[in-house]
Amino acid sequence: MEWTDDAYVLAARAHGEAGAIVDLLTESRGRYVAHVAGGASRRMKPFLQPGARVIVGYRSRTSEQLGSAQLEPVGEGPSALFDDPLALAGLSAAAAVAQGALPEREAHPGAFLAFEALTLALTHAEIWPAVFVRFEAGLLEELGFGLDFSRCAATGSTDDLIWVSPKSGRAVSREAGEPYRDRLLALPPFLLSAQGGLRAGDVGAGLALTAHFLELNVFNPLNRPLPPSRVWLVDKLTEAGRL
Amino acid sequence: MASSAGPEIERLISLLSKLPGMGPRSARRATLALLKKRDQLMNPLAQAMAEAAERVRPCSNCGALDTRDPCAICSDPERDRTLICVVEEAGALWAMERVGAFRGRYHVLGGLLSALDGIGPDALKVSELVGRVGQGEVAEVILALPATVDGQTTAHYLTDRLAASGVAVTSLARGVPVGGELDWLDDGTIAQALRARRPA
Repeated sequence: MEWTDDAYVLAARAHGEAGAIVDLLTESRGRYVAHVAGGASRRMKPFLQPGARVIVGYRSRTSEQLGSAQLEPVGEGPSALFDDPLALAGLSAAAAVAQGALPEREAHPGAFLAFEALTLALTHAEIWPAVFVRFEAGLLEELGFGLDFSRCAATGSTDDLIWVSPKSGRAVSREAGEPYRDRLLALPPFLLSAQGGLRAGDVGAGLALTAHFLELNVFNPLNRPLPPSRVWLVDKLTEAGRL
Repeated sequence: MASSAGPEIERLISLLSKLPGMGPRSARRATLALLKKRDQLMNPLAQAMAEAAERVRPCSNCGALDTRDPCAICSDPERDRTLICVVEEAGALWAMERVGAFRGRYHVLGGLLSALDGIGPDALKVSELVGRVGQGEVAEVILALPATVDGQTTAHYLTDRLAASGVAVTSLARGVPVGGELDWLDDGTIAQALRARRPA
């Protein structure tokens, strides 16, 4: 089995003295784990970081075994974010959520594109938290748990959608949701339309929304909590007054 | 695997092969060398290892490894008590000491914050660092942490934690290494070096 693909490094851990086991999000083959010989070397270490863009050359004798990969770095990678603690937290959280949520060896090109969009946005401090919410919503959709904001689940109306049902993930209009407002999740306008604009509290509402459905549909069935870095991200954004 | 050596030798080979840089073959060669130089090498090495195992402990002040507590660096009156250099592990401290360019004291964190591995501040010696800085003697904390996502996340966390103390918090420069040629450097290092350029 031999292929080449574009990928992002999601995680890397040392294997033996010189190698590394690297978790990759590839463009056309989804998440792949591979052994990288010389991964602990001075030459390789700089790009075996979460969020680093690489070209992967993957090889394995059989399709079942853990293959070996050769990585070629593309671009600057996460070092561009080293001076921005919030963006670093966002990158770590995105890598951990993708690593925890995506099954191995299942093609999810949408997840790759969403991750790419987020990594490109991370240098823009004002917008990336909203892009992070869209990334997680995109991840849910890729995994078959897409949220449906097209019309009200109760009335079919397409106007004034401000809530989301915590069970179905479908939008609910202001009027239909009013009696149940304590039990519904807020739907920030930027998730309805790119022109929705960002108001105070929207990113927080969006992060709460995607966290709820990631837990409900992805992490709870795996008997795992949300990744700690995802929790820390919300804490850091709260501390920074960004939610 | 059938062995022609006795169990004592096999045990020695097995233990040596667990050391960094050693595999079974090099462990066999090392064992043979030790047995050939019993008086010059093997017995002194065994004695040195026994003494180290018995006496070396982390310094209760900075976390460095030493037979004394406080360690030789912490108890050296010639060291600048207003400077603390924060490093990840004792290996990084030894690297800094090898250079000989730093005359302050150290603080060994014992690891890095790792979002992916779920390693939080409680697993590191962060509160001990804040406590040392809070004693009032320290004027500057130098963060000598790896230029990795985890290293820089830890650096930002420490900067936040130390902000209230009022001490200057600095970090090591990132960029072109001595002897580094640009066409061999990774893109990230070149970009960092460009951003950190200074008047020539």
